[in-house]
Amino acid sequence: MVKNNKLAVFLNGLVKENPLLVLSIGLCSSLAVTTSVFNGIGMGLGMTFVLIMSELIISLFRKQIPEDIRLPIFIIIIAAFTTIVQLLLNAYMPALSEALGVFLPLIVVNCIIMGRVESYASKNTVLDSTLDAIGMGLGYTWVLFIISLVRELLGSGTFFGIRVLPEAYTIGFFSRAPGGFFVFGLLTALTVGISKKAAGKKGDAK
Amino acid sequence: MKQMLKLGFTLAAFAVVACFLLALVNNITAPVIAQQQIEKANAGMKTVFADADSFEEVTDYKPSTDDAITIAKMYLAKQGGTVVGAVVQVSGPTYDHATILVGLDLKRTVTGMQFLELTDSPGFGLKANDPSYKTKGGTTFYDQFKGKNANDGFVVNETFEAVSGATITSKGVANLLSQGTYSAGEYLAEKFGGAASSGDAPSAAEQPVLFTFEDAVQDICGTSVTEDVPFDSSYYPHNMLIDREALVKNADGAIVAAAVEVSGQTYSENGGSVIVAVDADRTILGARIVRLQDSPNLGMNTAVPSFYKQFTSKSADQNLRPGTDYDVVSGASISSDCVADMVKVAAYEAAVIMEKHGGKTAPAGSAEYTLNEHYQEE
Repeated sequence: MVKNNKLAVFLNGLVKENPLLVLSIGLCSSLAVTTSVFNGIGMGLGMTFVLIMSELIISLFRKQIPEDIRLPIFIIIIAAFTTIVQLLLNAYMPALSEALGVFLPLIVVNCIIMGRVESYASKNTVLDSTLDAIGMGLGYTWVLFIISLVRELLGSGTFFGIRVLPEAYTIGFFSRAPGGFFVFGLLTALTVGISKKAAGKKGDAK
Repeated sequence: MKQMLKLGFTLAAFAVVACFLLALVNNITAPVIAQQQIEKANAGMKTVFADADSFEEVTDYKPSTDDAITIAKMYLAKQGGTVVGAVVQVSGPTYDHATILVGLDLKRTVTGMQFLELTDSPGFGLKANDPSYKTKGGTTFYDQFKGKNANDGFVVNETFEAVSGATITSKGVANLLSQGTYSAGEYLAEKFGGAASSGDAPSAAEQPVLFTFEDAVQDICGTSVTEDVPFDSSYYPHNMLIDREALVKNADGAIVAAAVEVSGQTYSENGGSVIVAVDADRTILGARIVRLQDSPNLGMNTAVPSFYKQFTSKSADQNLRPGTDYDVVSGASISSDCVADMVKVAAYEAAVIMEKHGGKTAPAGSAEYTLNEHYQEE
């Protein structure tokens, strides 16, 4: 594998270093909002937007940002974009902004953004940082999508609000917090299992 | 020093740029958000007034005539700029508490009703706001008011159907509706040519009144001159406790009645006390509640005037039976019967005193009276 391969940077966040399943950061918002697919995707995309914009701006100015005050500056930038997302959602997608509630402004302190900005964007080029942000953002979004898909389907018997299963066959457990942990735990186990197997095969080939 | 300034300026620069950006976005989105909030508020009101396309808040409306009920907000419902009705938000007691939104058109017809808040028991009062609960008419409890004319009044099981098992809640909601539609109807009639009211303002719900011995005597007999009579404190007629016995005299010193206060059990274990005055003809001049501990809006309503005044003019020698001699307070039949029992015992004892002071002699069998007795000690 060629080092600094653009595709690898992008794919990194999707699976190998998936923020939720592998790095296990930014969990609280992801577990709280994933009761429906609509909320899950909404949160994922809002978060992706803030992540891309923050990484882009920060990598752009990485040489101008003094080391001593980098964290306050990161927070100003992240907070600004979070507020922009909040205002835009409030104006154009009020249903989503209501459903996400307090987790929308809490994107500011989401560890995924802080983590990526600190460990990646502040040290890499604009293009790499943007690719990393897109990869991480989508990595976050697809996991949210899967968790919310399972939880909405089993918990409420719907998909995007459309009834799929009769109400009598739903399992309320999945709509509540423990259901979120449960689905998340299974997904993590699955990911770890698969990547271990893959690593084992690679080892055999060598 | 130079380094510090540089850091400060850098941070400030980032903050300024971020602020500028935010101000820009806010400028674009603020009107959209404001519009959305108006629409959201309107959407709520539209569920009770579907024909209106805009709403305007007004404040110069008549307040509720009942202290317990508040008319929190009133909006004029407009269709293409003309006022077609009003929407009112009313809060007040039900079994616990409710806030409703009700729409009224110019003919005083209810265009819709919706609960904004209802605190009550699940399975009973909460059924009033349950979309799956259907009245015999096939509608939900709250939808049945749609199309009713406020001039016909909101009378349980006459003009609307109560939630089964939750008569108190249903009545409470009816009171909120009466107050809200009256205020809105009057506002529309006065300013926008709406239909006039066919009746008076809805009367406030009666409040329980507790008396002292002297106030009760004054209220019943019109005089407060009393002369205490000694009594046997070890005598417990029908397990009731005699608190006080007195002769009531007029200004000339003539005996007009005997007043007796007894305490007994009621629905609550703390019980209650009533005072009864009986004249020389062995007729109850009046009964008043002195002390009572019971559930608000339920048992406590045995202390409202329309309940205790039912005993006036009854004979001290007759048994007092629910349904035939007095109407029980709805939802509090046990409390009502207990109060009636106390009235009966006090009336008999008062008649005994009057007999000793020139009153009529007791008819045969008068002493063998029976009570309703929900709480008979073995």
